[in-house]
Amino acid sequence: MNISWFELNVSAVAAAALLTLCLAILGYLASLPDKNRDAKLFTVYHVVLSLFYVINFIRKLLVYPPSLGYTTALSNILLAISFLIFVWFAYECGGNPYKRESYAVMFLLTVMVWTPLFVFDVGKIHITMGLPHLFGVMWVIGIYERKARRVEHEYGRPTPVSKMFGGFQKWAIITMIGWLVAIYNPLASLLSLPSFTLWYYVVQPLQLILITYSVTVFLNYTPQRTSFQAKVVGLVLCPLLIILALTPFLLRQLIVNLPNFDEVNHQISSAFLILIPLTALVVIVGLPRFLLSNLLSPLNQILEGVRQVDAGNLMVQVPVTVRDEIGDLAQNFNQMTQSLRQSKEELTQYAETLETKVAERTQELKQSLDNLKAAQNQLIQKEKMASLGELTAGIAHEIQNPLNFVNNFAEVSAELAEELAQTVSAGDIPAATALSADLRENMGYIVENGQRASSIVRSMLEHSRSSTGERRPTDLNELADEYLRLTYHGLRRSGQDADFQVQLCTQFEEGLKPVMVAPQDIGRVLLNLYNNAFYAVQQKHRQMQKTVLAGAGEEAQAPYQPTVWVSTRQVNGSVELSVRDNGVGIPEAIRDKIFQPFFTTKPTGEGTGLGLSLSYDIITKGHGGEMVVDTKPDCSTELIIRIPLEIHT
Amino acid sequence: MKILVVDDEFQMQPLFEQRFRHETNRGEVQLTFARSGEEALALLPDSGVVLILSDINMLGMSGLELLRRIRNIHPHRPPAVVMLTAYGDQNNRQQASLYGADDFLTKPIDFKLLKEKLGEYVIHNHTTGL
Repeated sequence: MNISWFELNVSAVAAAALLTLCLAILGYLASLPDKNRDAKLFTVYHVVLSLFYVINFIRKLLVYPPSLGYTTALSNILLAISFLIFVWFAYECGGNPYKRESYAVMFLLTVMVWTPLFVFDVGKIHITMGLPHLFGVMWVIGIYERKARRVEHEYGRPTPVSKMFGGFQKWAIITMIGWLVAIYNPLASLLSLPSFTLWYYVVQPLQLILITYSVTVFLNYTPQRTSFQAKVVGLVLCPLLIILALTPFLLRQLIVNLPNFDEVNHQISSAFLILIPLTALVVIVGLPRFLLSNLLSPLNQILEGVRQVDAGNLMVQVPVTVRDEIGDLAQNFNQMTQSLRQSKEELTQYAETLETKVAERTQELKQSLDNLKAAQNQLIQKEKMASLGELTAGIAHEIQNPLNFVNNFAEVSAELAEELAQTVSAGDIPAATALSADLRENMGYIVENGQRASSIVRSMLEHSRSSTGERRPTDLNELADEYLRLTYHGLRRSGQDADFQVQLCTQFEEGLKPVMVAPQDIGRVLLNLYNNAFYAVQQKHRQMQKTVLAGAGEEAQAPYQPTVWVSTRQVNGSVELSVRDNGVGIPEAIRDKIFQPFFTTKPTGEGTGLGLSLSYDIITKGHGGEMVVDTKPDCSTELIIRIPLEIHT
Repeated sequence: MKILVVDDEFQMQPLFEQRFRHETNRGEVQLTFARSGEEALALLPDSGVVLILSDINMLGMSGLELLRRIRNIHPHRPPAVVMLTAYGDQNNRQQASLYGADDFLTKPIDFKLLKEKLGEYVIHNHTTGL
């Protein structure tokens, strides 16, 4: 039942399978977006390969000799072109490090491949046409080997690129095996070797595997993104086509002895010829649809859900459409979002309670801080009052003395006035003149002492009043002297030794420039320094008395003269005031504590421990000055304050 | 009757001079002044002073120290020593008594009272307690 110009046979079926696979792959390659240089070259290679398989299929069908010659020639030419692209791809993929070599090799191979085509009959298959191919493929194996080693040497380990070269190298090795098989039979007949009769069982699957393998390597390692569907389709289609291509060969072996072989052969071939495209169509169209509905779209829904969760939407629920592992995944996803929601709610609640707690604690802390501030203010006030108490005796002395004069001069003046009246009426003019002079003098004394008393009261008030911190030009000598007097007279108050006397040595530099200070504040500092100095010499005095009582007689002991030195001087841009005493001194151990608040060496109840601390703050923070201590234990203590003339605070 | 007034306030001198002007004029009283304890101690010997009126709070030697030293030299009066102070607290009084003061007066000075007591200080020739 042969038609005159063509013949259906098993080779044509195999060729049809190859063509189908090649076209399916070409279609997929062509559909890839954003192809790079390598991908383009690879695609072009498959275009040429597809053309070759088209011609190959036609060639297998044709039986008419002249047309057979044309198709064979076309097939040879396409094979040569595809081969050259194959070699060029080997050089170019992943970058070409051997430019010059590649040009030379390409030129050589072009000559080698084309020469036999034109020297011999291009319309026939000749062994000399296969040899350059074999040589070229072996060279390509070498190229991939060198490129892979080069990359691994550069990075010191296998990389995706070197693995890609390895994959392409295997592709080339399989190609070489194919060519070896193809060349063996003609070579065997030339050399009278036994022929390899089953060669077409090997060559057909080899070609199918070759195409599939090369595409797999390419898609695995090139940056082109490939879809899961494409991989599954390729995986199913390739073995199916291999089976479909090889089955007719097997069947042919079974029916070759039948009387109606030609007819059966024709029927089998035509059946497979229809089966191949049909199978391909079912796999290419049906499989992705199945995957899409049963795997990919539920997966996409879950993926979308994951994205939503990532974006913060925990209310998302994925529809559970299938009852399989994917369905389980969707269900578990929904459970996960639910528990996430719960955790988030708990967290939010916790955060809220935490905020309330923080607010409460802050309030408590604020309260404590307010209490502390109030306590601090009370303490400062107490310290002020304490130092005022120390002044009481001094103030009493300073007020009672002027009052003594005011009262007595006023009384005596009244008597004098009466006498004056008597002398005037007696006409004793010189006596009257003397009396009136006395009276005038007495009035002066009265006014002077009245002012003195009121100035004392004023400074006492100033001391107890809260400092305004207002600065005015102040003569530090005057201030230091005033407070020295106050402190000194306050010294002999209750509970102190009556026979204890302090020698005062003042050395105030004349013409000291006025300093911009708050006099009340500096007054408090001075009061503290003086009191401390007097306290120190008194302690020393008591110590000396004890040793006198305990030990040798009074004469043997060098007499101790408690002394306090106060001096001022101008140093560059500041005024320096020093208060020095020859008292007990400050032990090394507590020297760095004396400016700390609440530190005191006095017995409980006697000192607040705030005096020096407040003084230090007044001088350093309040006036931008400095306060330093210089002390020798059991010998002396000197406190020096320096206040800059120009205050920048 | 020779009286020594010890006080570091210079106006004590015109005050005493005016208050005792009649007594001075009549020759009953002679006034001498010292501005410190040291000065008083220096002019005391052979001065014929029978009464010393001394302030307590003075720069340098205090009145009490002066009293102690005087009583070291003269355990009994003459001279009588009367303390005059602006701050007459119990402690000062006790100290003064302990050291042998004859009296303790507070400022402002009540001259009327002082004059009344003058006789006492001189007539009774024994140490009085306060």
